Amino acid sequence: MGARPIRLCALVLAAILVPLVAAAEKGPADVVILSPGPLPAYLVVQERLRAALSSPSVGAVHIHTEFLEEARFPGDGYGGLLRDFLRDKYAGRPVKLIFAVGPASLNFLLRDRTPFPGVPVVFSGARQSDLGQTRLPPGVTGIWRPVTAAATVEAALALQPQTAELVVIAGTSPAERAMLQDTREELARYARRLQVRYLTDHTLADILAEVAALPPRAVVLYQSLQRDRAGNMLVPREALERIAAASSVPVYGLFESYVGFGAVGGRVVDVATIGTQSGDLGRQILTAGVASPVPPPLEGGSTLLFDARQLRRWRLDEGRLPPGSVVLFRGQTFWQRYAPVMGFLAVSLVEAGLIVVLLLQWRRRRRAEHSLTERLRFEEVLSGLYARFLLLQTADVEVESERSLAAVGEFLGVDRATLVAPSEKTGFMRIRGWARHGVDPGPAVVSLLRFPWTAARQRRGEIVKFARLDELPPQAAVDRQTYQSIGARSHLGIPLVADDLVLGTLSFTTVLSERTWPDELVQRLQLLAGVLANVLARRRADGALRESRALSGAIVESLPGTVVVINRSGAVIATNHWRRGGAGAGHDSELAIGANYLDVWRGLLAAGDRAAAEVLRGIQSVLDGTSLEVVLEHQAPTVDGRERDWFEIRVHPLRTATGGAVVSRIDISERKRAAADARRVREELARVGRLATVGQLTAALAHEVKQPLTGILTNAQAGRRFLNAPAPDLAEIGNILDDIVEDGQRAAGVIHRLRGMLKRREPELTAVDANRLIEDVVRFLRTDAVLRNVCIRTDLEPDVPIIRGDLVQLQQVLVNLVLNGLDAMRDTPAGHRQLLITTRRAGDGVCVGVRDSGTGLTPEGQERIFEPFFSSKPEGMGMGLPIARSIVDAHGGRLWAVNNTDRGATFFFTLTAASRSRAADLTVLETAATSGRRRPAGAA
Amino acid sequence: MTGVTRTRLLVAIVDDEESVRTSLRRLFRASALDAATFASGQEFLDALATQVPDCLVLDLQMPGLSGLEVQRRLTAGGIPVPTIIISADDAPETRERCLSAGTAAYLCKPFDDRILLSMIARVVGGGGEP
Repeated sequence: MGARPIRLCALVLAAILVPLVAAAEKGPADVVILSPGPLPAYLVVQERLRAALSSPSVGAVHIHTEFLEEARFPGDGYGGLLRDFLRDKYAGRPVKLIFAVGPASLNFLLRDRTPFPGVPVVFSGARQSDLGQTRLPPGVTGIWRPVTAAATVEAALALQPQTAELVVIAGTSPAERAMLQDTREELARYARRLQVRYLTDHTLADILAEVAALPPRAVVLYQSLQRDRAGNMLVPREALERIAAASSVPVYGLFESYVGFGAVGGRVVDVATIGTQSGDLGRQILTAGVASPVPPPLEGGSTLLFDARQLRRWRLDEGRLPPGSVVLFRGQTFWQRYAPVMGFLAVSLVEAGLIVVLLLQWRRRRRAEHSLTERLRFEEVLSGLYARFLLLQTADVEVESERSLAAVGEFLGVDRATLVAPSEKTGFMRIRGWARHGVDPGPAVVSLLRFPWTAARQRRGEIVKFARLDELPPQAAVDRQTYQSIGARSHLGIPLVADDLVLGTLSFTTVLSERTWPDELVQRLQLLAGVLANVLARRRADGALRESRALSGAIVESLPGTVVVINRSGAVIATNHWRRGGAGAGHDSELAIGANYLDVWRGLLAAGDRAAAEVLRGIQSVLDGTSLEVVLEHQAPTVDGRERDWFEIRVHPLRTATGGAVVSRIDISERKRAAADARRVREELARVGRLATVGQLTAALAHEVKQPLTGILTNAQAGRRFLNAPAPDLAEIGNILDDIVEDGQRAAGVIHRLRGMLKRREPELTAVDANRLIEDVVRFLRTDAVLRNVCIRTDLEPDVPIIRGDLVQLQQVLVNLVLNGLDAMRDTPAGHRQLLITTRRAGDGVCVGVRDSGTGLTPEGQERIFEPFFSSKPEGMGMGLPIARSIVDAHGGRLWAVNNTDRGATFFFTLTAASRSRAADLTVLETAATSGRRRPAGAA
Repeated sequence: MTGVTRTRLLVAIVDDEESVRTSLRRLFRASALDAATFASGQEFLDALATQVPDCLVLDLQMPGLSGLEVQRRLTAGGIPVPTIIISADDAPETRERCLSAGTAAYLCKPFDDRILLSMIARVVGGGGEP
């Protein structure tokens, strides 16, 4: 680089400027280089930046490199985290300058400069198009990346004038897309002359296929492929290598790093020059000091660069290259290299010294070739190993590892090659591998306590090596004894690290003699260790996977009922049905892996089971994704056709990429029977409660019957008198008879309702309007209220949700609560007896309140009123409230009581709305399954 | 007392039950009596200002002012309207209470029309319960 003369000048300048510089800056400054990632192009720039800053005029600087790696982690969250991290990391440090390498780094800073407020920024290789609408703020300068697409195409056309088609390749990362904008702009001028195609939203595989099939008059322009359509992150020049190898036409590239990796060449962004230019700008800023404004941005350098080998490959005439082009990789033929030597020989063969020189040269070359051969052979061994391991079933890894250890051990000429797996849990190290024939293989298990120093180093992932036991440090005294006891004379242990986990150690030991471990060898063995670590990590993952599969298999097997896992089209991919031994003919007997489960239900439907249609619909809706979970009940005939068993069918989606569902079918006949029994018992109990209620209402009921009876009697008696009159008013007699009929019906109604309350019945689910229910009950109890001088008022919210429930039982609850309220007001002065019944919407259900102005609840009462046989009344049985609560519970609601703030207490109960009622306990659900046993919907 | 002479006796009926009012009114009309019906005790007491009946047939169990209450006010106010209380309640204590409150007669529902009419005749005549 010709650094020396420059350095001299710089020293002189420094001598003059040092006082000024020293006054401006105190202590070493911090310079931060922000780079998107460790890609080759960015690394070149970084190197040049560092070089520029190493000039003495700059003074002492600490250079920190931060990798953004944003392309790997798209999304706002990462950016924020990164900013916070940078802000905290550099808080309080004297950061004097930031280099933003690449457009992504610049954008990151322009979006939010909080980590480095007010610090000047020098960008390298960005373009205005990368920044979008943002203008460069003050304090930001740099080197613009030149756009070279058009110039490259010109060069291609110069070399290949017959070109008719141009294919442009670029990747999907944001930086690439921004650059593509400029590329497109430049290439717009060729739209008429060439057919231009853009492969800019494709996977690498697609691109490789496309370029392999290009016609002869096409050329490829490779901008970059950092991220492909599938989201894979790539190293652009490695992707280029593959594309250039697969391509049927020449590939031109826009970056210097592409030349030598398959590109013919082109006008390339001279990344190194840009790096140097940026470094210079940075140096200017650092030396000028804080007060001076930053210099303006400059255009970056570019060169025409070509690869002689590619020119040869495509038979392109170098003479056609534009002037100023640089051609690399010319290479030399054998004769060109050795011509001087040959010439010498021909001239003076007699000079012995020459022969010696020749011999020496020859031997040096042989040695170089030998070491090259060795290296190649070792790499061959390695790649062979890796290929074999990739194809292995995990069970064979053990065997293959041993074989590989043997091969490597032989190759290296050691006596033992082993894998050491330490277990902190057991406190032992397991050692297995290969030992040379005739050599003691050493112990298979050693306690970690005997290798404390080695184990510590292993844990930290450090290499352990010694050529002689004496090389071991004093703190390894225990280890030394152990090594001696197992016969080790020289030893090399390389940690196997995968994903930051130390899986073990790859060890090589000599027993028969001592040997050294040159660094080059250690490096190569580290490669091998990497391969093995990879394989072992994969094996662990596979083992874990197999374990988890075994676990889930065991779980599925243990489940009651039949579990069927189906794919999206309904084919059975797993089932446990063989365990159940045919419970439910027609269903389980049809299950087999591969059979279509939906056909089972279609068959049942065809055989006349109408409920099967609903099951089919349910399963299909989960497979389609329209339902998240479907629960159905289905009745199927038992094997002996006697009684129909009940099954609960649950369908859940199978959350894999291909979709599907898990269907479980559980026999709930027992549960249903038990529920039916419970229902009956509860209804019996409720009936008993109603009997008691009727007993309470005797006076009122009697009253209610006597009223119409009085009317009937008096009317009839009046009628008789009318008839005895000289001119009977027949019209009036007609009215009388009408009124008698009405009163008769009224009396009948009372009897009827009474009978309804007392007869045995099955609970019935119907739609119930809470407000109407309350009005009915109030009407029913009006007489009783009047008898007791209580004023009953209602405050009903209009249009409360309709509830699903058993009307008679719900009426019973309300009657009970009202009667309780009336009882509570026994000792209240006559004018103050108020009972208020309210309804309110509560969620998607109803909350009913019965509020009295009586004595209120005692603390003991509040807790115990819902207990059976707890009564505050001497004549009370104490069952009314417990029964009421059991009814409300069966309806999925709650019944509770609170004391009012003024006087008396309020009883509240909630009931859920029709759609959500879990009133399955109440009665048989109205599924299509109850064909033949379908219950008519009861009238309110 | 308004001092209006009437050709026919006026009987007031106070009962919250419509069918009872209607049927009683029919009965009285068929028996050459005039009838005035009231659905509540308060209604009746308010109407006393304009017209005092010759007799009152009073239901006991009514919302608002009960029959007993009406009777007490009549007695306390010294209004000389003979009252017959009709009630579905046949408990002897109730009967005693009503009689002590000043009612002239007590009849259980449902009742015989002849008994009621003869009772009306007697109490209007000034006689009490035999």
